[in-house]
Amino acid sequence: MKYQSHTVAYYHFVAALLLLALQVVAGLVIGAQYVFPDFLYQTLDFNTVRTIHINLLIVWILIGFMGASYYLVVEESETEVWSPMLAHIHLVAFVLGGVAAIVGYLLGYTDGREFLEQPFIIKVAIALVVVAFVVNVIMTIIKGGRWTSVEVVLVLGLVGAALFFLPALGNHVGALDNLSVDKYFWWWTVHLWVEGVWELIMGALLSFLLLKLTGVDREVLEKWLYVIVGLVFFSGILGTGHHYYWEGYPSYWLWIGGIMSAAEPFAFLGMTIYAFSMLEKAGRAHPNRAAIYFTLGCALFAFLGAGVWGLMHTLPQVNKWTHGSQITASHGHLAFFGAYAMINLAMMTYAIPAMQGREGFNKRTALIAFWLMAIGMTDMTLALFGAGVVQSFMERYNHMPFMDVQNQMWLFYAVRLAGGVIFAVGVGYFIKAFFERGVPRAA
Amino acid sequence: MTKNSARNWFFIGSFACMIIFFGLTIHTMTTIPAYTNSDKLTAEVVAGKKVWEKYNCVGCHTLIGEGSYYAPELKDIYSQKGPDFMRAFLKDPVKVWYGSAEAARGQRKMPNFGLSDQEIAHLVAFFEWVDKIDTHNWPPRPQHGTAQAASAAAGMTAADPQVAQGEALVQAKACTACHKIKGVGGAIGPDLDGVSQRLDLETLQQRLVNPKAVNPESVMPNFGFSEPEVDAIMAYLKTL
Ligand code: HEC
Ligand code: HEC
Ligand code: HEM
Ligand code: HEM
Ligand SMILES: [Fe+2]
Repeated sequence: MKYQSHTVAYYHFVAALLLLALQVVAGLVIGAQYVFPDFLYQTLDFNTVRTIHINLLIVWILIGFMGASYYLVVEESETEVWSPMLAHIHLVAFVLGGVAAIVGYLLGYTDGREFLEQPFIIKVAIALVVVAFVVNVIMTIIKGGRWTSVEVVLVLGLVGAALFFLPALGNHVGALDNLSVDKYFWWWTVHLWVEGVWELIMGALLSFLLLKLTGVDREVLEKWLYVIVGLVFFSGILGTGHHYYWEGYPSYWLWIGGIMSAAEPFAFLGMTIYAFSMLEKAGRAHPNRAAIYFTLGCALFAFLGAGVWGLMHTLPQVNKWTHGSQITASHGHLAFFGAYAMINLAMMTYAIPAMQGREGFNKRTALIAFWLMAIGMTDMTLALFGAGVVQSFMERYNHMPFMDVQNQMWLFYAVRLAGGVIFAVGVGYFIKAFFERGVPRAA
Repeated sequence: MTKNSARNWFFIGSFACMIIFFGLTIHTMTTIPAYTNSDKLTAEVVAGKKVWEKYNCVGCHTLIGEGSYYAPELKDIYSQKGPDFMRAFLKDPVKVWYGSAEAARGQRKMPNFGLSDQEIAHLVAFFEWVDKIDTHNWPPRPQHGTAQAASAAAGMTAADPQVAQGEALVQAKACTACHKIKGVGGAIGPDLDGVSQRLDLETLQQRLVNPKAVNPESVMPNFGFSEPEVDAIMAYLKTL
């Protein structure tokens, strides 16, 4: 290894990957409960396992971002991490906090707000971990003595993610006793993360990968990076309004939210064009084919899941019928997978072999992993989309009782479960690719 | 465009959007009392929200369209099915919905959380408050609940004032949360079409005066109807 502190990134990636595996197991359990409702009924109920599923999702993605950020700043600033010790400590603290939260859910301790179910002390612990991490990253860059634009965008994303976590800490504030007020600021964390600051992190990581994989001119690349993240904030901040249609707020949000969020896909379209055109410009193909697959796959699936699947239900005229239906689940899966799971997997596929001084993962294993995950997720997305169309039409438009409609839809849920199994096998292959060439050693 | 001008646009544009967003946030917060009836946000309602969170109900249900998609939306459950149904249901969901654990086998169903009467009372208060949040008429529903839609569909207008009063009561108490009337409604109790031919009048009356007198296990609530009210409902049921 060129830099000792790449071990920091390595351990973050290992932790992220194992938590991904657990997330998928939890997904399979709730996917199975849709098809076989008696499965674990009154033992491990749907709500508990769902909470575990989405919490593990957020935790592994964040840990992946942390590993990716450490890898990136060390390479960009050409220096060792400011404090590898601090990095190891906050990784252990984060994993322990996550495990404690999950044990808590199993025992019935929960704050009962979707995505933010962690009890208050755990939220505080997470906030401290994030602060330690951000400080470490910034100090490393300062130590390196120069700020590349990729680093500027990355750090803005990381600091923003920390800032927008603050409203999540406030659920003991009296004002949030009002459900509408609670929901208003809940979205500051949920929406402004995935459609704001996380997109900056993704943009920075994507640019870094393109720099490494294509060797195109840095100036050009960084200019387009600013254009894209500009589009993100321009549309995404006021685009929060697409969640403010039906929650007890003035009707101007139907206009503002509808119009501004309809512009959000441009940012994702921009990233896709950016990735494909940069790779095309690079005459010479990088030998790590799997990393190229995951990088392009990320750009493409993010555009489909967030851009296309998001646009589909973002206008109030459509959202009125689809709000809170399986359409939302369909979009949530494809967007999270395409944008944030894929960017992490792409970073791992590039960085782990690079640390080991190899060309890439075993190509066959890594590409099997890629295709199984892509196919499995496409299957799940389409099945849920079908279910969502039926639900919106029968329940929302024709006013049939919820359960009557659900009872007719088991086929969709069975197909989704099958897609989940394919996806899980893909994750298994990815883990195999990750470990089959052994652990990187300090050179 | 150079890299620097791209960067400047990014910072200026983001800052401007942020300012507008904060401004709108402040305005929206000033409208909250009107849109959500904050004055009716009693201690009971707040306690109900805490119960809702304690049991992670949002891990199966949506509420104002957000949460999980495994179980029904509950924004307007109060006006759709009424407090009596909710109290009975939350006490023993499987029994009220499916009749028995046997009948519920293989069906999607809500767990029994063993909620206390006080927790249930708080939840009902919470749902009553949520029901009145002005959500620009979301979720989309037929104008006046299922029973009225059914009678409107059947083109029914009762000439007899007693029958009309009975029909109004049946609508107000949302009997269709549990019973089907003219094919519309729940399946927890028997169909009420033709019920007056099926039962003798005395049993029918007993049912309405005190359901537990006929069946001590009954989940049908005692609505505490007065005598003329019972007569009116009976008159209406006879027309079915
Ligand atoms: C494990 C999933 C699950 C959890 C957790 C859950 N529910 Fe339910 N709930 C359901 C299902 C499924 C139904 C549909 C009726 C049935 O089959 O039992 C339902 C129905 C209901 C209904 C009746 C809805 C209607 O349209 O008739 C109410 C009211 C309700 N739940 C309230 C709650 C409350 C309050 C909580 C939290 C204390 C809660 N639920 C937690 C699954 C759940
Ligand atoms: C919480 C559910 C529930 C509600 C609400 C409800 N019922 Fe019932 N009802 C039942 C059940 C269950 C039965 C079946 C017998 C039993 O368990 O007592 C029943 C039985 C009956 C019967 C006897 C039917 C027969 O064929 O034996 C009549 C009549 C009746 N209900 C009328 C009404 C009327 C009128 C209302 C509204 C004012 C109403 N019910 C509201 C649950 C309900
Ligand atoms: C990578 C980016 C994105 C991710 C990870 C993502 C993820 C999600 C998730 C998980 C939800 C469900 C939230 C809940 O639990 O209620 C959601 C809702 C929603 N998203 Fe996205 N999203 C992304 C981008 C977008 C974009 C770009 C648009 C619009 C063009 C969009 C439009 C919507 C809308 C309208 C809803 C509300 C659905 C409803 O009414 O139920 N999303 N998103
Ligand atoms: C084995 C594969 C998986 C299965 C079977 C599965 C299944 C499920 C189920 C059943 C739900 C609950 C939806 C509901 O409330 O009805 C859910 C929620 C969710 N899952 Fe998965 N999942 C899988 C993998 C993933 C992956 C890989 C991701 C992201 C990368 C993901 C992201 C999410 C998100 C964001 C939600 C919340 C959606 C929302 O609130 O709209 N899942 N999943
Ligand atoms: Fe959003």
